[in-house]
Amino acid sequence: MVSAFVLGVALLAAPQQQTDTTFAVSPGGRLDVELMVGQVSVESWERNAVRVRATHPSTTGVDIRHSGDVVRVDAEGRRGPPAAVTFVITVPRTFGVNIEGLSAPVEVRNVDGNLAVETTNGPITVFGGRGRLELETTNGAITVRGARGSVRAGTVNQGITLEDVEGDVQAQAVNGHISMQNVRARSVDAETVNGSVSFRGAIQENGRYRFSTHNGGVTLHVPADVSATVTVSTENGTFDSDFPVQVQGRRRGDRATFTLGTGSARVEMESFGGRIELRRIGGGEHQQ
Amino acid sequence: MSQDTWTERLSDYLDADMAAAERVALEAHLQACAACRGVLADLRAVGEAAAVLETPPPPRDLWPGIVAQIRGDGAPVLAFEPRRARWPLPRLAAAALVVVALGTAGVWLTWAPGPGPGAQGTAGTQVVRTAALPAVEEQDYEVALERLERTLDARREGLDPATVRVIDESMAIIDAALADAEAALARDPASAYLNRHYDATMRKKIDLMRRAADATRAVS
Repeated sequence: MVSAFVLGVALLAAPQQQTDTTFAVSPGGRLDVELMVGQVSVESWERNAVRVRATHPSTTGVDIRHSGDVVRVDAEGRRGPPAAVTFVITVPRTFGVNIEGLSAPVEVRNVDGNLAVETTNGPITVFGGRGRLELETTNGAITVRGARGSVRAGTVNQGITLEDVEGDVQAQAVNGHISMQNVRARSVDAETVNGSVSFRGAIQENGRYRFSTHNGGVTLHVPADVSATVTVSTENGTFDSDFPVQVQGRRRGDRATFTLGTGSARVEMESFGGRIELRRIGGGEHQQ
Repeated sequence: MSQDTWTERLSDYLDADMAAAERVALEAHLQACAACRGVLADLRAVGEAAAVLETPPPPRDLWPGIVAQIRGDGAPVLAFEPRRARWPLPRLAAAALVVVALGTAGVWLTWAPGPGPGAQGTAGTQVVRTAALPAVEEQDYEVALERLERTLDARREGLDPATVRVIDESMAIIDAALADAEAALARDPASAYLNRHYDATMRKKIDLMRRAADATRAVS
């Protein structure tokens, strides 16, 4: 125990080094980052260049390779596995970005190319951007704000938050809430096992929307003039609505469907045992 | 679109409830996917069997109440058209439809339970009992789970304790949800919602195990 403590202190005390390098690239290229432990932040600028800044102990080196349109960045341990490295990388706005980490929180700002992030431990936070987002973590929250592209987000532990997002959404969680505020999408598929699902946004004509949870509620806030065929499914939960729909003699099992407006969109709301609510944005909103 | 997603659209395809572009894409997929062609054939067989069933009369305990409301305010009764079963996956299924009646306050919904033996629906509903379909998906799940469990057991020690804890806790949450769904299905095996919910939850379990297996490969 004492020797492990001494070893830990020695590692912590290892001097930190700074790597800072910038090189020219084509605007439509791609950044690939692999990191076992540490932190990754990616931001954009208007220059056709990539800048890599890294803070790392002397026991871990930073490997940067540039070939054609692809820039690869990772960390290598000089004696054993790599220690924690903090990357701050700046790329052209139109760059695509792929990040793979093990225990590494990731933050990306204003990257318009496609973004793919996969980590095991650590939250993923994305601001802005116009590309396709594919975000996966096992233990960490996923947050997307101000994105203008499709979002596919999956986490196991902790929730997913989407705010001011324009683009199709696929959100999956096991133990966490899914919250979608000011979302404009033609297709939404949001599902969790233990947690609530909430949505506030437009229901587009002929769109398809599915909101599902096992333990938890489903709450939708939609415009008063929504046109949707709504299907509500529950085993032993409840249903309440601001729209002129009432449930009579609720019994277990299967599902009930009703039409609002022209019924052009398809909306499915499912909760095994929780409260399902359909709320109207604006006048007539349910006051609690 | 993944095979799982196409499978869920086959019922709509049979009902001609699909945009033209999507129909073309689905038909192209069917040419290459034997699994989906098999599901489609099963759904067609279910529909053909359902079509020969007679529409039962409404039960006396419900219809008079609805009629009274109609006579009271003149609002029309809006009933769902009888429809064939539409199941995204080939599982044991029976359909119960919902009767909607307009009252003075708006639209009334009556939840319809899954039909038991000799069950009768209300006016405008069609109780459909379909033949049990082979549990192909169940076998696939078991094989996939077994394979993933072996992989995880062999590499579990390579993961850090925090990750192991998260995976174990999440697996327990999913297993509890599966147990809830199984218990509910035991009471109501014909429920379309419960069958789909069970399948979706089982897929989550497999996805979690795959993710855990990937994590072990990342550290090895």
